[in-house]
Amino acid sequence: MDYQIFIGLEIHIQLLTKTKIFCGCPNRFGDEPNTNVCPVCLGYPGVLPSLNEEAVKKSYLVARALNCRLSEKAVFERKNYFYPDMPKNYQITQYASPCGLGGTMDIDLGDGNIKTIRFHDVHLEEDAGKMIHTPYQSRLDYNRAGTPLLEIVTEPDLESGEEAELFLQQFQRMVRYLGVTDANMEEGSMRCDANISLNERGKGLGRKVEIKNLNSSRFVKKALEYEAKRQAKVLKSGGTVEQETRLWDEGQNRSAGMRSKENAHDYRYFPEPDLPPFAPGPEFLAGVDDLMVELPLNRKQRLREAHGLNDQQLDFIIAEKTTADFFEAAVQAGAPAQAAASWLGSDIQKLLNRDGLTLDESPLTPGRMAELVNLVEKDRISNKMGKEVLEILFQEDKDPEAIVKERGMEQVADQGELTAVVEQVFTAHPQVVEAVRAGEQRQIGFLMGQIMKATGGSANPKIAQKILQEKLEAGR
Amino acid sequence: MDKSELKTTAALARLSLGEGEAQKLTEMVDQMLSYFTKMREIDVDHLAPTTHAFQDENVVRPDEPGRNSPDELLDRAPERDERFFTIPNVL
Amino acid sequence: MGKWNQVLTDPAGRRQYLKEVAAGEEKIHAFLSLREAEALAPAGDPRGSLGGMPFGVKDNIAVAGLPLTCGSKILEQFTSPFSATAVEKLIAAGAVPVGKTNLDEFGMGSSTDDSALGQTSNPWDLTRVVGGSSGGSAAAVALGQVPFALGSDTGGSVRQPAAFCGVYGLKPTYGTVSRYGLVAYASSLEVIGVLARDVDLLEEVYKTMRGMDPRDNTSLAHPEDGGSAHPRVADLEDGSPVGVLRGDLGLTPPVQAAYDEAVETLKNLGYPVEEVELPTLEYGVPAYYTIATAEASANLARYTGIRYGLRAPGTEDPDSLVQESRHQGFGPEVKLRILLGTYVLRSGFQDQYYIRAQRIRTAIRNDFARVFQTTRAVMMPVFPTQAFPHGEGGLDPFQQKLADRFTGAANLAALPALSVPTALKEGLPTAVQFMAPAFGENRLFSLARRFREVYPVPSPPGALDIGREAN
Repeated sequence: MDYQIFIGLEIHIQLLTKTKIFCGCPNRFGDEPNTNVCPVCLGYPGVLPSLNEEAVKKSYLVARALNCRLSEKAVFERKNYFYPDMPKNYQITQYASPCGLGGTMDIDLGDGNIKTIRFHDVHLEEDAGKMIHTPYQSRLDYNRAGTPLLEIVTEPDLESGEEAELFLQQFQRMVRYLGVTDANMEEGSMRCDANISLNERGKGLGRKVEIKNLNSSRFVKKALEYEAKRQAKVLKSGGTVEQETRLWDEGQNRSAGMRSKENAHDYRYFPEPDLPPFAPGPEFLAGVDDLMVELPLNRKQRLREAHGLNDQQLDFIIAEKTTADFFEAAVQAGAPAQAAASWLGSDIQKLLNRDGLTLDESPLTPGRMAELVNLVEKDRISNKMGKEVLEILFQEDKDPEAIVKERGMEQVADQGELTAVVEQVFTAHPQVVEAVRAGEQRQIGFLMGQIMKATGGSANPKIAQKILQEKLEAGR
Repeated sequence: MDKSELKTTAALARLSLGEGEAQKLTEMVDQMLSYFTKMREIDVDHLAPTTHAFQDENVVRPDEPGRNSPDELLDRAPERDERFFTIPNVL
Repeated sequence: MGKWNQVLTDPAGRRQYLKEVAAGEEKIHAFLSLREAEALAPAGDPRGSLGGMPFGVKDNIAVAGLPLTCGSKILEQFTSPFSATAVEKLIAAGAVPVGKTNLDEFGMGSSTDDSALGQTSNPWDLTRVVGGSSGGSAAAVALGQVPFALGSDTGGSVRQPAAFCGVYGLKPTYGTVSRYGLVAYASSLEVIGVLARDVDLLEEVYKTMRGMDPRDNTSLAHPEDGGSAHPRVADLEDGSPVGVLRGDLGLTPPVQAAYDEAVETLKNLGYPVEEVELPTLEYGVPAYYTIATAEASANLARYTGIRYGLRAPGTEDPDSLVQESRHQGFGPEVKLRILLGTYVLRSGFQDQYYIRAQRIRTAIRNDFARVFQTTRAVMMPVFPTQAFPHGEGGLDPFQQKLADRFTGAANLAALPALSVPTALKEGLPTAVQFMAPAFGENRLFSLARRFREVYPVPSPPGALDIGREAN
């Protein structure tokens, strides 16, 4: 039986704003518990929400990037339910009239396969606090309560765990490009729930199961693959899949139905009387569009066409906007694209990792990189020497030209100078020269070694080789 | 509204009710709901619901921090453990 | 303003003041809490017109450091860490909040007898209620403990107690006074209001308090203060037609008599009087209670004993903690409204109750818009009865709700309304209510001043003499 798999994702991203969505408390991760709190985000008697304009801007930036239809008026609503980490025991969210409706995003499945994923909506809401369980007690930290959250819901267009993982990774990349969020699943600035259903091919959607507690895109893939197998088994044996919420168990690598059967929630949504609707006008949208950036997939395509780089190189470059920006700036400064891509992906990345730095934090600038790459490309220094220069650059924060000059690293390329050296070597080792001329090619290595030794390693190997060959030939 | 409806509604509102209390409240809620049927006498289907007092829109504040004094809020916690609010949870 | 500006200027004066207030309290118990004499030194601008004036604050409006009980056991020990914006503005103008006044629990009621923390009695007749929910404020002003007091008006809660106690009660246009610091009951209906014996003071207090507040996204700048989002409302001139609600209004004979006289007074003062009909008015009460209780059910969900307030002891899990705290902390009227409000929002019921009520709200707005095309203001009763007795002899909770039919409309339509004392009948106050288009408070003050010529504000027996002028 060939089952069709339908997967939809519900993604939450915490928006990067200075303050929380409805109050002036710092929007910051990792502080002492209950320090970034105030009467508003603690749901005190007499408080009211006040809408953060930066949260609104960033929401619409995402909605635009996802090609959503914008609601004429975005209306906030109260979603009513009780939970200890909810200060008001209702969440202010959007429901009937969110910021963005519909929307699409292209994802790169590899090998030139592009798939379009549709969205259901994009809406703005507030995050809850955190509850930690200890024996006999639960502890509550409301630092996170009131953090602006953007919820993005896809249509069930994904067809496998692998696809879902790819989508999530590329979505994460895109929202980071926009600068709206850190989208870090380990820190909780991006969270993902999945729903999946199976059905006989062509029969439409099946009975869906929701999966929670997915703490990385890898687990999203694993959980969905597990779930697809589990549901297929149920269907094959003639059963029906129970519509429920299941939690992914990382330790046991399986999903399990939740112990406490959650009562079907009746959220009793109604429009939030404390917040007027938000109608994005042309001026506001123009401001949002000013913040728009070239999205990763588009950038990849453009760079492929402009520089003929391969997928692996491109994926590395566009993985982060700072890398892509850096790359393009370096090319702009004169670095050949292929070489720049190569350096970025290997030696530069190694040093950044070793020193725990980002490109922006490092002493390397696009200009300096262009300089370095060209030194090697133009044969003024060897590749090996280039790596050394890079290392010194990281340590001493100097321009490559300066480093090369200071240390006299420039390869000797002068014909006359090298010819003289070759002749010296010939004079010093006549037997070896004879042996090579007689046919013992391996001894060329020795001669080259001597030439390098005599020049302190700075002979341009290609030129030295050429002169050596010429001299060898000449003596026959 | 019957007793089970009241129970569901009370559960949604996290209001535990004593036996006599539940009885009395059911009667009073019923009285109000019967009275509410009066709303059917007027034809309003052609009118849009008023959800906000005025039609003002787009009220936002700049993304700037305000003052906060978290400690005086923690001082009002019925129960706390250092900087956490605590609740019993014997599971 | 008489001697009120000087009452608190020195320590001896402040102690004397509290003594006199305490004497009044023996009879009426208007206050749930009073500050110490040392705390009553005026801050803010002493030379402003409100400089040095004591005022009462309904105990659902926050004053930093003072209790904010809302008349409820669930907040009985709670003090607020911040002040309401409206209170901050009055303090900056030199006025001094002296204590928190009694109210029906969370503002839900029409007598103040639904307070869980004490009973307030009407200065005119101690066997009778003061009205609600801002009863403590009305009583304190009527007896003369304070020249003005703040209340909140969700469905008539400033106007009705004002009528019961013989003082002015203003319900401003929604949004003109910030709600930040007013404990929410029905967010789209309520506004902080003022009670006073002097209409000039009433106006001064209102104008000091109003203004857009960044902490309240529903607040707006009054067009009189330069707010450009809404047009100014022209003043009431001589010859402006005033609409009068007529017909069988279901008033008790004394109230009917006072109302009929007031209609004559209007004519005698030179206003062309036009009888008006507001057929949607009778649907206002069910609509009001549907919307108010729905919003209340969400607004009161935060009271769980987790972060502040009453926490029931001896529970073992979060759910029991929440249920038990709310069970012990809320009174019966509050529980009734929470249940009702939860119900009308429930999936399957929302359309026929909540959404229908919001459509009726639109109909009521349209009805008033129509009436205000030909009239500049409208007069109608405040409440069908005068102050009723405590206990069995009074109106039962259901009857009290039905009686909101004249006051609830202003809240549903976001319009300003003013309760104005008229003649005493059978030894008890009566009043009429004036309503104007949104932002038309000036029209209400004009009418009140003209009515003052005919109906001086009465003083209850045993009224205090604290701030009075010599004559």
